[in-house]
Amino acid sequence: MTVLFTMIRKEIQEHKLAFIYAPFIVALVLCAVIISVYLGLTDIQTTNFSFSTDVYDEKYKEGMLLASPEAKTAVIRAGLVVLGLPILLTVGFGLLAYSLSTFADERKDRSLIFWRSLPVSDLTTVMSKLVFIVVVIPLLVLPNLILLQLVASLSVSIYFVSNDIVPFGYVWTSYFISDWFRIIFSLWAQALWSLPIFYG
Amino acid sequence: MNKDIVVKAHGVKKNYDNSYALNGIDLEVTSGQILGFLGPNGAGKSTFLQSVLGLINTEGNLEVLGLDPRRDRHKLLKEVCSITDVAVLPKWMTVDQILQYVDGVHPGFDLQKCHSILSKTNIKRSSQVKILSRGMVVQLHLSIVMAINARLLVLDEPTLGLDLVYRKEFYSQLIEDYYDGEKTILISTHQVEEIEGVLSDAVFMNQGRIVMQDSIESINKKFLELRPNRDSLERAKSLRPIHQRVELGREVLLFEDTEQEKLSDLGEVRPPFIADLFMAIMDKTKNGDNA
Repeated sequence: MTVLFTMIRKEIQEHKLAFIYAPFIVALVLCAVIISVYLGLTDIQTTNFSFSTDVYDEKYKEGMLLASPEAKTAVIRAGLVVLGLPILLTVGFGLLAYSLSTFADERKDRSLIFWRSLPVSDLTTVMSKLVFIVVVIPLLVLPNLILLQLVASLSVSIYFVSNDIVPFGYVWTSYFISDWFRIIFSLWAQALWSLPIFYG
Repeated sequence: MNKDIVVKAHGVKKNYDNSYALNGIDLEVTSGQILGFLGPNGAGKSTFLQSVLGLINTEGNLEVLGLDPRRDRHKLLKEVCSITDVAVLPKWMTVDQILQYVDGVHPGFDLQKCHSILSKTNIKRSSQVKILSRGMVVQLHLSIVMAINARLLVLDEPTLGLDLVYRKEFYSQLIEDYYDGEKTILISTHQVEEIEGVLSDAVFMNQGRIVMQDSIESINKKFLELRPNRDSLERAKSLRPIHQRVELGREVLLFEDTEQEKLSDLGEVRPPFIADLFMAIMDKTKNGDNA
């Protein structure tokens, strides 16, 4: 067990840029954008995408008032899920790069000879990389998504309450935790998708 | 005293694209030996050492510490250490991260001992391997190896690309601080003259075969080099030297199994350097092949 733990720690140390720093930086940038937009300091308008408090006009307010509680929750929830996509994309690229290069890089810089001079079986080596992909990476990424959702929910709640759109409680419902599990599942799906490349 | 057999090879062969890198190696290495593998490029030295470490598959019988390196590599490496090249420590890691890693995966590694060895060097534990000089990387690798309680150490061109000072330090540290008379060391290098004083035994290899194998003590008894006086040259040649070369305008003759008394009257006699003996054996083998 110590051997596996040591090997996984090595994977984390080696790939901290892709799976710790990059998702965290993306999450921080997104948080900054969300706070700025809800404070009215900025807005994002492109031909395909718009992120601005301008959408919360009288028509939106009216729609939200008439909507059922489920519909209100669904609208907010959809927005929160979309916000997490840049992080998932960043990790997806990281996973792809990792799967493509994990053994090739070690062979290229000849460090594979050093790793193979230590008493670690080939099975343990492969196991450590699998556990890293399937368990560790989702666990490393999840706190960033939780941070993003909390910042977004708080911003939306304050904005909605102060503009009389919906009461505070609609944003803070139990779907949070179930969505975190969904996100883990989606990361597993990405990991499984990249496994054939890893073995190749 | 009974010595344990550390490496036992019989008929070991390795075939690459219809040419044999190893062509029937028979060898027995016992504990306490410091065995030098000498030979030109492509002689099969590295291939044999890689097969001892279980890094490549070979035909024939090969046992290392009673285990089959092809099948039990993982178990074997608990007792066997190696430095197989200078540039293999992962460049992205810090010294401390490497030590933590080895400590986590190697049951025979003594972290405190390694810290104490490193404290006598200029290597900082917070440094990344990529900023260390080539000599420092080898020093770090040697420090790790010295802190592992292993029975067999395999060194394949460990000082390649290092300057003279680092090479000398490497071997003196190896012998003074690591070797305890029980451990076995297998070394392959091109810098024969630098390991000559370190070896207990030598194996000369060429084209995948062992062409000569003996202890240094026995080699020094068996072979003698004569620099004959000018008037004794013809008499010396009549004693049938096995090799003859010219050094700084002076003939040098190599004799095998010839009594020293017979030669002493003819000129200056001394045991040959391993490098010179090696060249002579290679010439002899080549001429023998051509004959």
